[in-house]
Amino acid sequence: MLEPKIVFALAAVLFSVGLYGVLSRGNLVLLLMSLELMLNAANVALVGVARYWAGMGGAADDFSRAHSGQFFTLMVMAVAAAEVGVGLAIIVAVFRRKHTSAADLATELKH
Amino acid sequence: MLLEAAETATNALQGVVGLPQESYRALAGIIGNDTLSYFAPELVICVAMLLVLLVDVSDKLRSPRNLMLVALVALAAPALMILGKWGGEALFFYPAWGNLAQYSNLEGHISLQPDSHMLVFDGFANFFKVFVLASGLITLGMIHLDKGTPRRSLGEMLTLLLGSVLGMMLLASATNLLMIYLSIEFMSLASFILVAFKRRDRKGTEGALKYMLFGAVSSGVMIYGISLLYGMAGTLDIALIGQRLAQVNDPLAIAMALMMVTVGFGYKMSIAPMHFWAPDAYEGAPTPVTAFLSVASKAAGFAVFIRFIDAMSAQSTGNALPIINWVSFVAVIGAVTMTVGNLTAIWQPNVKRMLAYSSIAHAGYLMIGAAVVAAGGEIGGEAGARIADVGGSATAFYLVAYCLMNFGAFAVVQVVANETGRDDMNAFDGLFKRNPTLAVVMAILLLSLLGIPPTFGFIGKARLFMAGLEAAQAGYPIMTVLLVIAAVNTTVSCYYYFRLIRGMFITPGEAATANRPLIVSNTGWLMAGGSAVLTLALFVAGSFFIGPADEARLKRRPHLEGAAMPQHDQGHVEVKRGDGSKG
Repeated sequence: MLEPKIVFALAAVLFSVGLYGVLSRGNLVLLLMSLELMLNAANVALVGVARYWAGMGGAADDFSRAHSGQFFTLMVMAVAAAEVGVGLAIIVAVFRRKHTSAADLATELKH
Repeated sequence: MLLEAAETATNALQGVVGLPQESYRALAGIIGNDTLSYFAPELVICVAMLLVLLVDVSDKLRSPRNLMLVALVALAAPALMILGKWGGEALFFYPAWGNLAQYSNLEGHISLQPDSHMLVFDGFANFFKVFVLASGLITLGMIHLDKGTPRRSLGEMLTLLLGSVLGMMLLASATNLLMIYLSIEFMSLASFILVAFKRRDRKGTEGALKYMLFGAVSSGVMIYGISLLYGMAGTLDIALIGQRLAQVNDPLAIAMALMMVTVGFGYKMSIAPMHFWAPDAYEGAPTPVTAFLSVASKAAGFAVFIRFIDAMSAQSTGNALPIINWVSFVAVIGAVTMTVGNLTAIWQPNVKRMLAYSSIAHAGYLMIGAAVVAAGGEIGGEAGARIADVGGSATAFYLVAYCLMNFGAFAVVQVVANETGRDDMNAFDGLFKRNPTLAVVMAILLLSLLGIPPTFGFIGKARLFMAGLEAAQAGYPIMTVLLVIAAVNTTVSCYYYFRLIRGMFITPGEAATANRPLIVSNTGWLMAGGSAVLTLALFVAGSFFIGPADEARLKRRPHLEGAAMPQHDQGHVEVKRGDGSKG
């Protein structure tokens, strides 16, 4: 029996690790990886909770209630892939100009 | 004849696939009731995106003129199509699994899932769609004006622009968190690349990098919030979530989830704690893109935010949410946003950066409208709906004014940058000597941004304040405080707008160029001069836009059948689980 509490605890831990990585990592590629962790935290919660709702009694919107979480996860995975693609392209563009992928060196624009 | 053929084909299909009769009836109903025509504007843009790419690879057809023409038609035609539906009946749209398209409108329930919808086509969505399309059209003019955009890659730029517009249109009518997330990502991904368009430019790539990182983090936070909401309510439909949250007795979790989702919208609106990307992205991006992002992207963010808070506060009124009170929450964010925007704008040496902070401040003013919507939602009933509509229409009206004056100001920046190659404050020194008309045009636009009487900006701000006063009279003293802060902020903003005006009219320019006249192209006059003239003219004829803004009404679904929380039935669960493990 999968308790939603356990799911949410796991998701919260994953999310915090990801957020910590985003805030502390200096390397842009590692930063993107931490970001993925944040998205996956949400995915875990969505899938786990969908399982919980699927066990509920049938109502008119049974289908949407039980499956929209799983469907959402698929969408998040696809969008995350696209996002990483665009992100890496931009990082490469920055790298070509500066020859570094350290986030701290992106300091042209300030005030 | 045609109908008979369609019926025969449908029957044949049914024989082959063997799907239930209802789905075909729904499909026929859709063709008969012309439901698809509601979605046609979006489809036109989809086709046009491909068409622009095709024209771009064809040796014969490929020319800036042809590309612009396709984009022009692609933006103008959907706007006209939506205007054709203006004031018509609202429609809810749910393309569901198993049926090609189930749908229901409020009068005739045809849908099997009357409570859950992906898109809604109401007056509010129509207004924001036309608004976004119009901003796209003005952006085309800005691209034409911009000498810096490489003509070789015009096709890609227009494709991305159309994609971003499509995302914003979907966002304006999304009523489901999945749809909201997808359309936000759609418009974001396109605009990340647009910002990075000058890829050999250091500022451009760096601005895009910050824009992308902020965007990715805030959308990560948003979907985590969405997963919490789904966990509590068991649905992704925002109206249903609003009604079911009232039955959840966990204020801390609700407050956290709602705030996390707001982070995602706040990033698009560039409101206070999520505004850091805005100045960098605005400065680094090509000026047309900057203007487009500062107007259309913000408008789309406000459209979805207002729809969201209306759904959330209308049903789960204050008592269910002791921690997050929407009115105070939105009011505080608004106050912080306008103060941060205005105070930081004072120190900016770059005009694009200054306008970026000024646009953050304007997001703060627009939050007055959002707070009024929240107040109306909390009051509830007929009276509350009326106040919420006043707030929504005041926001819509102010956005029209903001669109005009902001695009105009960026057009002047573009004209000056074309000539001098710079966009810092000093480039504007002595502009009055070099081109008096252009200096006057810019002064009018800046006064309008400030909100001084003979301009459209004043009427916009006045309507926003009147909406705020209405909410204050309805028993929300915090609105009075917000209005006072907004008034003080307007005074603060005098400083930086007048600093630029003083530079143009009083400060002598650099000796080398001081007396050389600054030449403005016809497009430049059309864009900059046109918006200045409209800004003045609409002060007199401002009522022209009051009607359309009042039409921007949210269609609400007050009593949903599925509003009751599904109850946990232990025995039933066991059975279901068993089935699940076997499969």
